[in-house]
Amino acid sequence: MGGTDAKDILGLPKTPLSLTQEKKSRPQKESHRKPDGISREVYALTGGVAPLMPSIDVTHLKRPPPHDEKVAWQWLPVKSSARKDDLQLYHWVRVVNDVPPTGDYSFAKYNKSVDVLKYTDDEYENHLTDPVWTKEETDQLFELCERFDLRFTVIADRFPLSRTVEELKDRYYSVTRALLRARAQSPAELANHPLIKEPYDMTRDRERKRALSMVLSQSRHQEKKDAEILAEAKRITEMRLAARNSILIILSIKRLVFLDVQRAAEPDVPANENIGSVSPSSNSQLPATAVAPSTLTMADYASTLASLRMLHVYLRTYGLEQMVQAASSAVGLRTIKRVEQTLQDLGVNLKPKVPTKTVCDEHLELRKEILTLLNLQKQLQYKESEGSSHREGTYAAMPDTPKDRVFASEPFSFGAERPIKKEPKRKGPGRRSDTPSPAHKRPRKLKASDL
Amino acid sequence: MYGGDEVSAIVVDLGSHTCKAGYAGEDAPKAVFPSVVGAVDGVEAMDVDADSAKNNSNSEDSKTNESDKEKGKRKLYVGSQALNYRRDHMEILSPIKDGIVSDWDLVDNIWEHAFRGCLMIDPKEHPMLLAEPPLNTQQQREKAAELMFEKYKVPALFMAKNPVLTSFATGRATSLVVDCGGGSTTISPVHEGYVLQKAVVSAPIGGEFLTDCLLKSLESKGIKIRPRYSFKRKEVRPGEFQVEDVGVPDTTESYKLFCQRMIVGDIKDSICRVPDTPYDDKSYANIPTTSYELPDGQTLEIGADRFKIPDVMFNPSIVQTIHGMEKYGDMIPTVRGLPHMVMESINKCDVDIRRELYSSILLAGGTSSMQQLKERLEKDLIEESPHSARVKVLASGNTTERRFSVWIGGSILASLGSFQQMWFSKSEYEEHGASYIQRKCP
Repeated sequence: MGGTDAKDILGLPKTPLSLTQEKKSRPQKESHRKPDGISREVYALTGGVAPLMPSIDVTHLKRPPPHDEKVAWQWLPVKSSARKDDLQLYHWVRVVNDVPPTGDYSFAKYNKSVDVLKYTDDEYENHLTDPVWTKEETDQLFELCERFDLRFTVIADRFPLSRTVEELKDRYYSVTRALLRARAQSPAELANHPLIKEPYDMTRDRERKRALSMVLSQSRHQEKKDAEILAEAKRITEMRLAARNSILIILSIKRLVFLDVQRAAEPDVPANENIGSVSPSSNSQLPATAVAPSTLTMADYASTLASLRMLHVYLRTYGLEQMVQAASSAVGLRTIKRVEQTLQDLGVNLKPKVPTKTVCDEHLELRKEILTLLNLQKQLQYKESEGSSHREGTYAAMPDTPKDRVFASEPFSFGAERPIKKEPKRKGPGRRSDTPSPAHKRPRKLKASDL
Repeated sequence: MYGGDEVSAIVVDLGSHTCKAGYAGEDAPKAVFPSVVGAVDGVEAMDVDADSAKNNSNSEDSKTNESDKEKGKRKLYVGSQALNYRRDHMEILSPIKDGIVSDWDLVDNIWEHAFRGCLMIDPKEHPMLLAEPPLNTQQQREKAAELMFEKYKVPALFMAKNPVLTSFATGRATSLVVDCGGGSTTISPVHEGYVLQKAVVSAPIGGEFLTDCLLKSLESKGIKIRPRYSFKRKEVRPGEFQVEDVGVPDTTESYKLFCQRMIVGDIKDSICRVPDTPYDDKSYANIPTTSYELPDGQTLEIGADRFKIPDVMFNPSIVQTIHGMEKYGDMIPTVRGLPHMVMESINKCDVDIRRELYSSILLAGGTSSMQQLKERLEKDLIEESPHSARVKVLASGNTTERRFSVWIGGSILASLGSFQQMWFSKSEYEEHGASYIQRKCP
């Protein structure tokens, strides 16, 4: 209907099909006629069809009230069965034909309460005595239970003596159970009563509440600490796990090495001295470096080994890169740059031109030694400054102890497991005799040429 | 209304700052006026004998008098209209001390003014719903019941506790109500419509305390707050005013304080904000100031005080840094900040309901409409509370609703159909006595 109206308004020509449609729609229109009482436009707003669910019966809207009924509103007293006294409150009541509505006050049905068992004194004497609870207390408890409809939290709040909610519940349920048992004719009818089927267990309730209170009473601060501790513990376990793994891998390497060594009949390779020192002429595919990691941790070493082994076939430069990366993963960017700087100073290419096995191994070892060197230098400077400040502080200073101790305490970073077998070209930093004497005020810089 | 059935009850909420009264079923009280009474003692020049004789004859027809009452030598003035007019020798007296009623005579006057002066009803025809503080004593309730039944002859009475009414006003039966009122701040947990009395925590820091802090702070900076009656503004030239002091030697100190408090209270309402972090002098030393114009034309520039004063609620020890407030110094160490009081109250409750209480914390009271109070409280509580509890602070957006939430709850309660069976009726009072109220109104 709206469509044709729009076309009319716009002045569009009607298509020939629409004529037939119009003819068809007209009889349809008849049955779709708008109901009386609302205007056409309003009806069209709803989509032009009757609503799916009848909302308001439109005919009722305009229907005048029937003449035989007389509706008035009167201010009449309330009659309610919920009140036991004769309080007269007034409210507006829809009165039809001067006949006030009969029946109880409509809200009286909401006056429900819990039926709490009442006991007589005899029953109390016979069944319900308890060492902890006196009769007065029990009476009070039951009175409060009735007043507050068994809301034990509120009852515990209003109970004159301070008893916990669990104690009150326990007493109430045990008394009721005892009463039920005493009053029942046969035990069979009781078996389905909820109180008998599932008795209240005070200790379990207490435990539950204790656990809940522990969860809820932790302050944020404590929770943060707990979270930190847990994270720390996790980290430690992971480290241990990794260490254990690496040890396993290294042990397996050792075994292989040992076998290889036996096979190759190489003399004097004490396998247990340096696990990483596999002779270059071994047949194994292991790209083991000649030296033990100086600054590498065992875990890194093992992991790179493992990753390379997975590849089975790889370019040596790639392997070298991996090892270099592994070696330098533990140090900062600046140190890496210094290593590279030192390499350049020495005239060594950052990447070896001819990457044979020996060359790569040597390169790696060189890098590691430079790292160690830099580390040492830093340590030295630090200790010198400490020593000088110490000296200034106390004249009778003993500056040699800290330094020596430093050098003595950092054996692992020096590659103490340095193999006896070394290329004669380089000397390891393991020599301690060259530490500058404490009398030197200026920290003597260890130069590469010293090595 | 679905559950509603009007019996035209009257709801009266006598707070420490304002008294609110009105019909049940409406959404705001009709009568709101300060709950203090101005008392003028009889002038000393009068002869004592003649005075007492005159007063005896006067006391019979004193009941017909609207707002003046002669009792002994005292004339009492109630209501904001009467109080705003300055009278010589008028002392301002408050019936409520520390949250409970101390002078029933004044309360009587206040009620009288509310019924006959403002609402213009006859209390004989309407059941009364009174709102009372959660820690009200048995004695107080009996006295109130007695006064209502004997003097005003109400047909039925009910006394409901403030936090319960606030809780009903938001449609909840279990919640933790933080009522920041004029005289004190009270935190009370409500469980299924009953207040858990052992867990109610209260502190004497309320809106009036904050007003006093601000007043003292301004005075210590040298700003004199002139009460409205003490000056006159004369137009010297068009647009320009000159302020003249009016000499009023007979005005009492308490009245002056009352007027000053009204002005400073307005400053506090319009300017003060709760800071997002605890206040310290260094970080707020360079805060830009806001200007406020006093009635006598002076313009105040308020900077750090804007944030310092509301932070007293969260950190009461700040009070000691304000000059003039040292007398509260000994009281302060026992009072803890608002978030701590909330945690204390919750921890005193049974474990099972704590989670529910955390997630429905309601703010009520005039002071709670201070800006940013809800956000700051929520933030502090989330920090302090355990992770597993979801903290939610609810407050209606409308400031009128927050101020009158107790009254609104009473209005809702008294117009419910299923409440009609709970009234404490006159016949019950006559049968069982006033102590029966303890049973009927839990």
